Amino acid sequence: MSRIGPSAGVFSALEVAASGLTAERDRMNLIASNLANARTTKGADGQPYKRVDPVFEAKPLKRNSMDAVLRNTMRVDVASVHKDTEPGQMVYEPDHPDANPQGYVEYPNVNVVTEMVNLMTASRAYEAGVATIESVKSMARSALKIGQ
Amino acid sequence: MKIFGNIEGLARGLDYHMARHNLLAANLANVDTPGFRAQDLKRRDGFEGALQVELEATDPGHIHGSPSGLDTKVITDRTTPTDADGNSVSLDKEVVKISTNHMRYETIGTLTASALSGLAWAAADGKGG
Repeated sequence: MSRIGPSAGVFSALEVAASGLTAERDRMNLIASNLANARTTKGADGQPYKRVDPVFEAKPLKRNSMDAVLRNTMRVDVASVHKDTEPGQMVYEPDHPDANPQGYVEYPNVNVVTEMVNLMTASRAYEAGVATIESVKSMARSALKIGQ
Repeated sequence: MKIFGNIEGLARGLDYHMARHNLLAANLANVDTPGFRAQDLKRRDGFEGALQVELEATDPGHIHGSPSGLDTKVITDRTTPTDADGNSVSLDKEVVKISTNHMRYETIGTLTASALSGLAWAAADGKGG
């Protein structure tokens, strides 16, 4: 058996699974930010907080590899962070320091239920990624046992 | 008869399942990537493939198989319906595939180990083991 270049193995599988974990953790960070700022009426720009979402993108692990599997194995990257510009809820609170001249305060467009659902999905995907890594590790161990 | 013939076959089996694990891990990593479609690895090196001459690629533009001498094809699943963002990865399906692939790998690994220990036993004139 002749090998021309690196082929898909334990380390590339771990790299791909790890990219999934990173992406899901980034997503959890953004969800936590949305939840923490669910009532933030003034952000750094003076405007009410707007919810953010990660945009995931699939990228080949090794674009120019001789191995067709490595060329087609897609890692996941956070391409950008999308700001949801939908207007938030207007609440009549004339005494609020951030109220507009009509007495309304714009609250962030964060829906706690949506964020919790996204958090659960991210958490499940993260767990599945951890299970993959465990599986790859165990496969590597059983391959090493062949020589014993 | 080649002494290591069956072991080479088993080694190719190990290579195939490890390569497949890469694609399955990628499917799981991209479970939330818009427009991503699940992929899998199909084996083509059956008996009919055994008679084909293997060509060596000397230029990246050449058509080639895998460097391990394993003949496989990456297939993209275009039949499974996608969700709203065009993603066709099913978390449960992939987890089941990963566990079965893992079990197959361990089985082939055990078979390889036992084939090698059989050879060691024969090489030692049936002594030990």
